Amino acid sequence: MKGKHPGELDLARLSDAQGREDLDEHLRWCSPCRRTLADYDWLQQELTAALDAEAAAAPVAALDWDGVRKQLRESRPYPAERRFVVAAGVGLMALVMFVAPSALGSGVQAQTNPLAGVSEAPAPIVAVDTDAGAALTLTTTPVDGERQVSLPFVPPPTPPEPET
Amino acid sequence: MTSKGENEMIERALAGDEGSQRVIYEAHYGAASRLAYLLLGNRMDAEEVVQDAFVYAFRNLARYDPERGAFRTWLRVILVSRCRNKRRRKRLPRVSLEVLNAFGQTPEDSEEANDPAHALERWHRRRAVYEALEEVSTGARDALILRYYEGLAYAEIAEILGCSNDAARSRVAHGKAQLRRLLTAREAQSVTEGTAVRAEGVG
Repeated sequence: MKGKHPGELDLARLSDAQGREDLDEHLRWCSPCRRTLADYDWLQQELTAALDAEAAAAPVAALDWDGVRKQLRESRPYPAERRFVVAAGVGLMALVMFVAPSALGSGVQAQTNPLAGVSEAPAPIVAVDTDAGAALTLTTTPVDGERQVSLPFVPPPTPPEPET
Repeated sequence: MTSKGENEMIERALAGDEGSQRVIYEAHYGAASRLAYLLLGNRMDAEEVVQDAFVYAFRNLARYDPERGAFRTWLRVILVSRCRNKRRRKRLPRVSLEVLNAFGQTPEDSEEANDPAHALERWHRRRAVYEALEEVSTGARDALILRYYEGLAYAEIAEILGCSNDAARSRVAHGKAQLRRLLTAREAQSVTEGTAVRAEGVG
């Protein structure tokens, strides 16, 4: 026997491509390789015939151009004039929302935002304790768990009445 | 359609001419449907995939470059990719002979209709090859179909499958090797079964 046996994949490749003459010498003397190669040649022909027969028998559906056209139309972008109308609408909305309030002045802004300028820190709530007979005290409600502090309230001195 | 004529059609289709789109669709529909059917083995799925492939192709027609290859090849790239996605999403049922006959199709051509025994034997042989092909791994199977049904060159198969020329060549060779092993195993099995049946008959 001349030369090394080609592998199965080499023979599978060979049956479909040029270069068979490279192995001619080996194939002349090696009947197993020749048989395998013949198998592949047969298989190739049968495969082509089987696929042709299957494709010829394939139940091909009728053309459905309308279905394709419908899907294409659904995905089509808006025509130019419609896009212009939409863009103009969006522009107008933006004008109304952002430009008009500033044109009307800060009064409108203050009205629309009454909390503008108020400090973010919570101010302590002040309550007036009016216990009968006792001095007025200012009681502060604790903020953030702070201890309650009572401050004595001293009323300002009354000015002397003018002599008549 | 000549390649020049087709390129003109594509130009017009790109400009939004529905008539040209329709001509392109009609020219490629049959071949695309048969290829999808071979790859999927299911009529309904093939129909859906073909429709989807054409819609995609027309929506993305601007991406097609005639310098790189024929429209037919570009369409096959889209189609094969969709068939593979479809296969991934579901395990496809096999189509039986009864189903084919129900559609009014016969799997045998008529040229040897005068020799029923020969035609039947040939039909069985091809059927065995086709059924064995359904068991070949999907990558190799797609390559075999593109090579032996579509008759594509390895460079085209490589482009459609998104691999190198060598990989395409290798997939075809692996597919054939798998097919040969499957057919040999089936033949051995039928011989064993035949021997068992004969032995039972004698006993």
